[in-house]
Amino acid sequence: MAKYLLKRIGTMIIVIIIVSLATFFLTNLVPGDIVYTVAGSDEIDDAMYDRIYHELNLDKSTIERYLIWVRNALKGDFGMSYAYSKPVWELIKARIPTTLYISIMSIVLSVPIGVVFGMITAVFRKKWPDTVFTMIANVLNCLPQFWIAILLMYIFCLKLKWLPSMGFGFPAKVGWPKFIQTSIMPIICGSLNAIAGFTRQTRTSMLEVIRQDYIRTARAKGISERKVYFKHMMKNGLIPIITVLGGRLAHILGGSMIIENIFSIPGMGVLARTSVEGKDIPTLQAIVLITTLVSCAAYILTDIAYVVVDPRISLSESGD
Amino acid sequence: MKGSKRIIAVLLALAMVFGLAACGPSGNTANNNAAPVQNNTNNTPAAPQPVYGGVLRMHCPSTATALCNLIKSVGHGFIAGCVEALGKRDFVTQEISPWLADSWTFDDKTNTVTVKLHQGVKFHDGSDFNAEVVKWCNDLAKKNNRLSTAHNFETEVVDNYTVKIIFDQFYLDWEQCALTSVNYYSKEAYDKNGEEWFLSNPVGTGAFKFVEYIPNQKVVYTKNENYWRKDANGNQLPYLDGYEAVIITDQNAAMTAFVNGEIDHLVGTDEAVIQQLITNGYTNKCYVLPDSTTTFEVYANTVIKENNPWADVNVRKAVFLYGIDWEDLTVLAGGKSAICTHSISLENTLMYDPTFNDAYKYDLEKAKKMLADAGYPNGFDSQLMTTAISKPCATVLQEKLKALGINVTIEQVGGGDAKRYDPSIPGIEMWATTTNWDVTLRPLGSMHSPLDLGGSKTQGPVVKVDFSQAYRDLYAKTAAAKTLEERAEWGKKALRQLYIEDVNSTLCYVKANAQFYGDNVHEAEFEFNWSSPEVAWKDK
Repeated sequence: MAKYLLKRIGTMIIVIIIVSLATFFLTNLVPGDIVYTVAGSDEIDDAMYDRIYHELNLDKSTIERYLIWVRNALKGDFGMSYAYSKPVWELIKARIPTTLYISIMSIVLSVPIGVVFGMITAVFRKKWPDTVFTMIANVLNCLPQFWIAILLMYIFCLKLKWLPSMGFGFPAKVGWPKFIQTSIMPIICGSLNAIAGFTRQTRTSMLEVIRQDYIRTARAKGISERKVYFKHMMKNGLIPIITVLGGRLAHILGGSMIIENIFSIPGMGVLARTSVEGKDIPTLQAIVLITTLVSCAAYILTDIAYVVVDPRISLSESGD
Repeated sequence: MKGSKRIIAVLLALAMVFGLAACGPSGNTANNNAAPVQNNTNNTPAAPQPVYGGVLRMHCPSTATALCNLIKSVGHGFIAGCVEALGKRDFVTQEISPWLADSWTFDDKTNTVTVKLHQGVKFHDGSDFNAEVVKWCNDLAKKNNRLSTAHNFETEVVDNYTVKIIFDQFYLDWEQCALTSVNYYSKEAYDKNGEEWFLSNPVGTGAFKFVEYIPNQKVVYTKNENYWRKDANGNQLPYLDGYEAVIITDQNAAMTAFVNGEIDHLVGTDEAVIQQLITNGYTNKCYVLPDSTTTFEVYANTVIKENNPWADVNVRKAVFLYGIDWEDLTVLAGGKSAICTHSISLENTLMYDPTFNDAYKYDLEKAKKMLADAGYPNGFDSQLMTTAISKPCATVLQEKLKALGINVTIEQVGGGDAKRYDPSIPGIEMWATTTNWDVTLRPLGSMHSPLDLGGSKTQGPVVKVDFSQAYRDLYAKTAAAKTLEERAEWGKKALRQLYIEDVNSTLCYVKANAQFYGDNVHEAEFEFNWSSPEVAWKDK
């Protein structure tokens, strides 16, 4: 296990190096003179141009600049944002809680609903609940997130006037009522696709389990159907769900860009978009790096979770 | 039984699908429902009395990267009401009235403005607004290239409440430059907290005090109880308890928030949203006036003389005066809210010439004949450079040029791309800019200011266009004018020379962002660039 983890962490470091290299060199290929972006104007004199040029280390080679960036990033210094004139880490730190909250709550909401729907469809296979819930899952899976967001806004903001259409704040800042109001639509929006995914995955894995001999044996022994479902089937049937969950967790920081932009939520997604628009390269590089780090960590956690949930799975060299 | 259950299940699922689809905006009918009919034109009773209270929430369609325009570029909506200038310009009449300055005099022998400051004005941190602060802010804005003009001037402190602003030469717009181009921030706050803090914590003299900036969400201000101004009846200003600049980049989200009453104002940048709101009874209160309008202009590289069809004035005349249906292009690229015009001076502005657009007459056959006479009976191939903002215009122009046999390849570049400033690159280029329609400030618009006014020497048109001597002479006379009348006279001639005789450039259309206001909001109809919400108020 320890050996496996070390190996995975090693792989993760290689991935991060590759991503950081790609990010650094690709963002440096962005057209336009970054000096003007930093100056905030095309109309600057030569002295100012030269000053900014040196401040940005543009007089050094790209490799040198990459190494400087890596050295600073390892110390937690991602540089100054070109757009906001603030340390990049400060900008990211302020937005991570919001994005994490929306993403995690979406997962928290979607897992139980998706699993229940999936179980219903499996248990009532080829009966009307299966048809209905599978149809719902298919529809939800097809609907693009931005469309769901607009639909929710239309219903809850314009028609019912129950919820605000924009903004977000934690209770300490805006109070509990506003916090709850501003959470509802983004979380629902983030959950619907996930519910569909979990429903389909649960159904598939449950249907596999349902045909197993030990289920037949359990029934033959006279164990109640309820016990069969929840004790025998669910325990094994939910293992593949971890894969889906791992995938969701991997995108926990970068997956809510559409939701954040539509609902004007100041999170990582909005920061990523504005950094692209504003050619804010240090911020963009840091976001990509941190997102990669979180993704890699999520996949490692997924592997560990497999072992914890199912002792038959081994992470040893031979068992991979 | 089993079969009927299955049918019921299928029907239920279909009902759900159609239910979802029916709720969504599809076509005009659904769109019309999205914005309930409201009539916010002029139905309010005559001369309603201002009431105190409420928070004005103004929409900003882009994010703020800083809140100090002495150092970085800041949309004025983000700092409106917090910081003030020496004078206040009425953007309709262009007249400047005293604000932080009580009075001023101009000595045309020394090109010096002597400004008497209003005494007793305090910044939000309690520090005094005085001559030293004025000099400091002027110098800081100048150092960071944040003046709205490229004019060169020095600021001298005469006494605590008097400053002299000394220009290096005569400028017709000295009044605007000296009195409205700089906003005043607390020097004490800067000295105490440093530049990084200062950038995002504005401390001004205005009616609203900065509370917080939640990046990408909003800038929050609260009422300045000790604001130094009163209204005409002697009532303390401001009326509002607070002011918020709310950042919503997605236009549909902004429209929902506006219709839902979460914001009091909407800046419409998306044509579909603008038309949807207009269809549903909202009024676009945008003023197509100085500093509020984006122009979409095309110019040709005329510096390259060989193997360059665009260097021939007859080709340019054929294409731009007769070969393009500009009205059609305007609607296709800019939408219904765009205005097709070829002059940078609109009605009510100084150099407005009602007959100017008459020179542009769409006549495809005539254009083809002129092209043939110029040696291009089958057209030619060329390239069209554009930035993202003018891409729609470039795309439509590309199609229009095909009708003349001119096949252009579109190349999209970034705003600061060196290609835009490289005279060795042939072809034509789209140039979208927020034009300074106020031609007293820059005689013929910002595009041509570098010719003599000390602006950027590298802007695209300046390095890629071979301006004729006739135009240069007329431009020089326009820039040197001592009176507005003189400037208007020479300016009109210069514009005709540039656009109609030389056809170095052609304005395709102009477009201003639409401005919508809630019907419970009064006196808030301001252009972000020039006003502040200190006199705005909301119904209880």
